[in-house]
Formats: sequence, C-alpha cells, structure tokens
Amino acid sequence: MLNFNELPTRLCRPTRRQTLRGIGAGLLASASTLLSHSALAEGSTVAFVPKFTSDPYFVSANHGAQEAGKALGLTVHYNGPVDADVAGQVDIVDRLVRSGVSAISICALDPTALAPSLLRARRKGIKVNTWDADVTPNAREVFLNQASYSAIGNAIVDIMAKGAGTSGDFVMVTGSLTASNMLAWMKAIKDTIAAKYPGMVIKTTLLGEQDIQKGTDITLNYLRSHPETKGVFTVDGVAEVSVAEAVKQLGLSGKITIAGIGVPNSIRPYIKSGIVKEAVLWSPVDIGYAAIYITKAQLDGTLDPAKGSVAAGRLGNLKFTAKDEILLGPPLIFTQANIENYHF
Amino acid sequence: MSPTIVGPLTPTEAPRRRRPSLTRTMVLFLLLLAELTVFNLLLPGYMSPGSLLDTSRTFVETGILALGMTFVIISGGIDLSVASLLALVSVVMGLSFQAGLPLPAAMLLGLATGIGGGLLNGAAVAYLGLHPFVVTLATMAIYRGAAYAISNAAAVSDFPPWFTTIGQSYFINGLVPTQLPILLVAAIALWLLLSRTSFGRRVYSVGANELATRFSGVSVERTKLAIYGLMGGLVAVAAIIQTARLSTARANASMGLELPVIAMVVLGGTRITGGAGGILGTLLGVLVLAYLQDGLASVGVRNDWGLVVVGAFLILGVLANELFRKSPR
Repeated sequence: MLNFNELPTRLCRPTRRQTLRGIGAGLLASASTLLSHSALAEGSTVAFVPKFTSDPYFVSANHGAQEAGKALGLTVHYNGPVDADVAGQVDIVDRLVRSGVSAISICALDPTALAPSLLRARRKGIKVNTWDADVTPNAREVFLNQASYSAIGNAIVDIMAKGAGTSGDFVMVTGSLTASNMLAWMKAIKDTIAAKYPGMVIKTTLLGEQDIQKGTDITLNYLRSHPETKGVFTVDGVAEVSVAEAVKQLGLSGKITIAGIGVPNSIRPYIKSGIVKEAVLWSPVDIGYAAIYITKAQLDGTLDPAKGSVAAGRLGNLKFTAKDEILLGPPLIFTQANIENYHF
Repeated sequence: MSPTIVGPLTPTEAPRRRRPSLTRTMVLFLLLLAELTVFNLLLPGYMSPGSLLDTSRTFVETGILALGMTFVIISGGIDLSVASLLALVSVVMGLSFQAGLPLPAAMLLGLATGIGGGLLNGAAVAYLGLHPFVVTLATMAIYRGAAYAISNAAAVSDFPPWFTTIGQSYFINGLVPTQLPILLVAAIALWLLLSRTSFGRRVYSVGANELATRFSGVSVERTKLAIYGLMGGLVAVAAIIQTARLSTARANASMGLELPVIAMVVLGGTRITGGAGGILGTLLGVLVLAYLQDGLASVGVRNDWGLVVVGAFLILGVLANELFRKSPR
C-alpha cells in the first residue's frame, strides 16, 4: 500500500561517515543521496493528525480532509496515536517535523504537551493549525473552532422550546461537572434560557459521568419522582443516549422532550423511533475538509485575518472570530430526515 | 564472603556469563544497518546524523528502562510494573511541584518514589518468595491505579523552562538531544556494574542457579532487593526525562511501555529465564527495535501495526536466543 510519490520528502544532506555505524553506513547513505532526487514527491504533503485514529468521529474527519486534499492537489497524510496517548501523539509530531512535511493540521490531546513540538515545527517553517482541540496559541497559527458554544446552546434551547413549550420544569443531565467544554455548553444553555425563555426552569443538574447505565438510572429515578418535568437537556452524547433509554423504558415517548448534544451512531435508533426528535452536533467531515482548506491558505500565504474570512470550497467563506480563530459555522442538527447521511 | 563449597562459583571461576557472542552482536548490528538502509531508501536523509540523533529522543526513556530490565531478567526475574511506576513517579513529582514544593525537591521525591516502588517489588520477590511475574503484575495495577487516584486523572503542565530543557533541548549545533548523554552514561555505568563488580557476578549467579548461589554464601535476598531497587531508580530517571520532554505529568503516561522494554532486552540476547545476557546486547536491541518502530511510522505505517511488530520481535528474540544457545560453543 506504499505509494512512494506520496511519502513525505526531506532535504538530503551530505552524510558524514559515522564512527558508530561504521563505514558501511556511510557508503549506503551516500549511495542513497543519488537516489533521493527520484524520490522527491510532487506537490505538498500535509499531515492530518487526529487524537486517535480508529474513532469513527476522526475517521469521518479524515474523509473530509482527503476530499479537500484531492480538490486542492495536496497529499493528506492521516496518522495519529492508537489510543489517547499524549506521548504517542508528541512522537508522531516530532517524526513529522523530522520528515519535513509542509504543514501539520492537528487535533491536540493536550494543549501544553504538544506545544514544544509544534513550536519546533513552526521554527522549521512548517505551517501549523489546530482543529477541534487547541494548543497554546503561540504553537500554531490558527485554530479552527467547530462551533461556538453560544450557537450550540441556542440550538439546543430552541429544540426544547419547539417540543415542550417555553415554560415549566426541566432537568439537565451532564457527563461531567469539570470538563471545560461541557461547562461552557451548560452555561450557554442557561444564558439562552435567561435571555429568550425566562419561563423555563431548570430544577437540577444530574451527573451521568458519561456512563450509559448510570445516566439511565438517575434519569429514571428523577422522572419517576418528578412527573411534572417537561423536558431533559443533555450536555454530552452519552447523556443523550441514557436519557432517551430512560424515556423509552418509562413509555414517555412524545411526552418528554429531549434536547442536547447527540452523536449519530449512538442516537440513531432513538431518532428513528421518534423518542429524540432532533440532536445537535457539528460535522466532523466538514471540520476535516475546512482544516485542509485553511492549511492550503497558510501554504499559499493567503490566510489573512484582516480579510475577515477564508475560502473553504463547498462550505463557502469561513469567518474569523478572532485574529487566530476561525469558526466552522452553525451547528449541525440531526433529524429523522438526515440521520442516515452521518456515520460517526 | 568466601565460598563454602567448591563449584562453579569460586572467585576464580565466575559464573558462566554468556555475553552476546560475536555472531549475535553482528547479526543485530547487520539487522540495524539493514533496516536503516531500507528506511533511507524510502525516506532519503533518514540515515543522516541529524535525523538519527533526533530520533533518539523517542527511545532514551525506553532505553534506560531496558538497561535496568537487563539486570532484572538476568537475575531470573521480570518487572511488569515499570511503565506504571513511571507514571506514578511523574504524577508524584508534578503534583508535589504544583502543591508548592520546589521542583528539585519534587524531583528527589519522585526519585524516592521510584526507588521505593522498586524496593517494594524486590521485597515481595525476595522476602515473601513470591513469583516476580505475579508481584509485578499486581504492582503494575497498584502503581497505575495510585497514579490515577492521586492525580484525579488531571494533568500537571506548568513546569519551568529549566526543567523542560532536560527533554526538549539540543547541544553541539543543535544536533544532540540533551537527554541522550544520560542514556550513554547510564549504559556505561551499568555495564561496569554488571561486568566488572562482584555485585554484577551475583546478579548472573542468582539467575543461573539460585540454590548454588545461596550455598556459596551470597545473600540472594539482598541481591534481589538491590536489583529491583536499581530498576526503580532507573524508572524515576526515565520518568523525569519523559515529564520534561512532554512538559506534562499525567497518570496515563507510557501506557504499555513494559512490552517494548522487555522485547528489547530479550532481542538483545538476554535469556528470559535468567543467567545470561548483557548491556551491549540490550543497547543493540533498543536501537534495532526503536529505529524499526520509528522508521515504520515515518514511512506511513499506522501505529497499530507498530505494536504488532513489537510483539513479533519479542517472539523472534526468544526464538533466536534458543537457536544461538544450541550453536556450538
């Protein structure tokens, strides 16, 4: 499966004989100097680095990245750690720096651990951007934000208002009380309610700990003892599944509205059976696609915050929300009509 | 410490030390050369000094662990807890620094944690007489669990620049990673310890024939305790380097690293059942496997396959050891 034209190339320096490896190494290395010219690849190679390779979410992002690479004539090289291993991701970035790729587009496992390697990449002239999960600002040129927290909060509250009306008692189920993204979504939901529908009252916030069984149990208990509840907000994909399962087991489908973050592969059966009408997320395919368009602009030297936006193919122009941050666009809403188009 | 019985352990006739024979060393060396050549053809410049030296950043920590593991395996033992202990040391160091302890003191605390963890393994093996596989399988879970528990799965990242220099800087025209000399110094010191001191001889003889060693007046218990303590100290050194290289201390650090470490030692010719092996072989084992992993990843082979290669080389190493032993002496 190796295509030599797609391999990252590197500048070939005259190799000095090394004492440790002996004469043979020197001879072989100098022989390879002759071969190196034929191995130079055409076009630029861009490394697209996910948090981990096998997750359907990142596989989808890679689909988008490859699509953009094809459209732009870039070779997009997808590689990341097998699991959420920070050292593994750092090793991969270091290797990319050594092999001399033109650009690195990365979803970072840790904001500070990846920074030194990415800084070294930038010093070598490699273009760097981050998507989905950022690093310390000086280690990259620009961050592609998948969806603003307020837009997500707005979309979730609107779904709730459509299904359950604009007043009454509600409950919220979250996966974590410390994760920064979930805290930001919870705040966005509460802010939207305060601004648009002050009649909605969130009685309490339950902690599902991103465990389907636990989330289902606490939701079952709460809904049994609080039959006046009109709807449940869910702040992460696992919470949405556990709440949907609880509503199904109680036979309350259609009586209780569920609104929140949902991941297509796990929420699909509940959308199809109508227990969940709409779920909010963003498209990982589009993130990957946009990240490569941004990379291309960096390589061409045309990325300029002063212009206010960057062209991203079929996605149109993406706006700068800060001088080093670009917004992918409005959130994606999954419904019975479109859920079959998404596989992550 | 005069031996009471005449046998293979008289001072003049040290226990048979089957250092990797010349043939074995040559085979490993040629293997290394072959893989580097192939990668150099696929990726021109792979064999340049700058590239080869820079890659050493990825295996200094693993290499230091492999040096210690050589002692452990030669003595007939095994230590599965090294990767977990590394994470625990890193977390202890990071958290105590975050709590206000000066970083040098936090590093000493980390060193103490490493040596303590090693001694705990050693004590259970030597004085309770438990099998090292079971002991370190248990402490593998205990140390990792403790690392998660005390850190609450959060990471410490705000280390000062002088500390991260240990793992992120270079000298001599930006060619040599700062941590590489640490591995070299450790290798020389441990080579001297293993091949030129009476402690080194005891390590071999405990692994070759524990009973005979005991009857010749050597304290098998104290020797084992010292070996696992040494392993723990080296784990702490590796933990400090890795924490500096990644500028982060977290409980899931170096997950599964014990496997490549053991594979490198065995590939280097150290017999898995003890009594034979050496530092030079281990160093070659480290280079062969580390450059193979790095090269495969560099030419675009996905990391999952890298794991398959490590497993395959562990089996190959054991098999090769058997073949080399049967060859005429």
